[in-house]
Amino acid sequence: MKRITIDPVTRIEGHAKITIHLGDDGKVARTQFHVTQIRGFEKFTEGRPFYEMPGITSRVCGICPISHLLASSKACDAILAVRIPKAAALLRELVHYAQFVQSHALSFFHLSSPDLLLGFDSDIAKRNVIGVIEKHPELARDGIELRKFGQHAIEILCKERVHPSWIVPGGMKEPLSAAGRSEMLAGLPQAKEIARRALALFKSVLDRFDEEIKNFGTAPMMSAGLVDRSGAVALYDGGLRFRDAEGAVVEDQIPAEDYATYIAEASAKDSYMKSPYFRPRGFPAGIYRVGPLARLSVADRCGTPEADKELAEFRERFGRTPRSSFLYHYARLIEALYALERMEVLLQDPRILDTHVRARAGVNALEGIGVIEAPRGTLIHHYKVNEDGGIVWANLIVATGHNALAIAGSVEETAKHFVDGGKLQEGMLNRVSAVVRAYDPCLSCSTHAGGATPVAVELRAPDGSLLDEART
Amino acid sequence: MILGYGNSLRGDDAVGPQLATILGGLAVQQLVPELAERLASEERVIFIDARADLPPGEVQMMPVDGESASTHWCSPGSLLRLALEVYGKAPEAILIGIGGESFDLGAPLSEAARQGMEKALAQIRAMG
Repeated sequence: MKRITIDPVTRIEGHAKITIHLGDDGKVARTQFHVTQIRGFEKFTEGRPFYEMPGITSRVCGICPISHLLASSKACDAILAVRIPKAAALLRELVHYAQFVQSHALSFFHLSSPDLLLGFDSDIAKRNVIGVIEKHPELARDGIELRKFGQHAIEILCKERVHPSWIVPGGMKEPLSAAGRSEMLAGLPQAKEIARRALALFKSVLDRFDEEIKNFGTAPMMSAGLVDRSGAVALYDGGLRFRDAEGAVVEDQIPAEDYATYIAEASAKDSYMKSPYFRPRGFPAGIYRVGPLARLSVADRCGTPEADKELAEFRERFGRTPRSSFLYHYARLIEALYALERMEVLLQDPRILDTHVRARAGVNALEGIGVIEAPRGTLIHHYKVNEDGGIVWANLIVATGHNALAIAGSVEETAKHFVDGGKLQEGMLNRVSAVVRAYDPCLSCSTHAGGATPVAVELRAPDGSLLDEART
Repeated sequence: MILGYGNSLRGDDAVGPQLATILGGLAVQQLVPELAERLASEERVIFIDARADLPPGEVQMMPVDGESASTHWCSPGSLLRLALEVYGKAPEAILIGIGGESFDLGAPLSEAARQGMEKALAQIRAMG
């Protein structure tokens, strides 16, 4: 049996490896998706005071520190057993949307636009962000501007961009100033304009990707995500809903503290990453996915005018619960617009300037669970503490963990459709790594040391000898 | 401008941000596109990163420019290229790589990496 390895997948956060096993007929027999995320985080935090967890966990990831800060702070709120002040809840939501904007901008403008705008078969030497700049300089500027808007909002709110300590158990450290609010409001119109332009551009090239839409991971599976009481998208707080591929709601309004009743975790032998599945259906039948496409499938609506208009068009084109993983890109752009609209609503809420932003208490519960929707999907932090507040046990289920099974399935489906071992072409393998990028997996928790990220695509003969190799 | 990057929770990956902090530079967890704007306003930039492909403690200095942009989505080279294309100006730049030994979560800096940091520090100071 021949083996092709794509190691690691380019343009994703962190490291992943794909192995494609060819049968003797040169066709794809099976695939493996390996994630090299190193576990041990839970062990590493044992004995730490619980209130340090937001700060520690936010340093896990350079792309989505706010997500960990928020999920961790919510778990800590539960340990304090407090209800945080309204202004604090609004501010947390606001900073969360700012992070969505910058994270989704990174995915579209910097990681996925080379495939989408230059084409999957374009010259590999140019199929990167530099190639995009040369062909579409205005797009590169838009990408940077939108990220800057999100990052700047985070800086206004958190005072520091990289490891913010502004979000704390019980609420926030400081209230928002009127000047800070005005500054964010002033930047919103341009940011919305960029998000609208990106959506329009994406829709204008969508017709070129008919084959990808039909073959990029379309296996039926459930979707999971938070929704509010009315069934609208909820990113900061809500109940977990599972909807199946046919559109039926399987479970609804699952509170954070009940997650383990519905989500179990299997350990795959190819990966350090745990593979969560929907417990009532067992493993691996309980496969589900999270993230932008899943959220737009589980929710009844977004709840903001422009995003809802886009969502209606999206559903008109692809149905109520679209299956193609390719459509993650589309859903992500709708969410970017949604996040900007929500930022505007929150900034115009007079309560957001309230100065009472923190509730204080000691250890009132020995267990706390925080669940949010991170840009890449549902993020769960679960801690157990002793009477002194020292962490005795911790469990983190990250978005990419939820998606591990779905990504593996999408990789196999895409490889089977596009890869022909008899006449291997680079664009074939690029599509296989691109289906992984569609999920925008974040494996950033792994090291970023230089030299550790060469991209090798290997084609191996049945005896294991190297037949072909591509490095990018 | 000194720009050190790496994950401070992951052992020797922390050498970049630590050295940048010592030198009063900018310490970040990873390179992101909007850094291009900041780079465009600088004359000279020293990037500092841990490396897994150098012997532990070894220091390697190499020039980088927009032409050395790799396909990795956000490398020093691609940031310089972004700065040039979007802001019309890119600084002179070098990348200092320091060989690391352990990149385990929660690990302290290894002795080798510490020595590498000392070496790099002396080299940077010698540059003035």
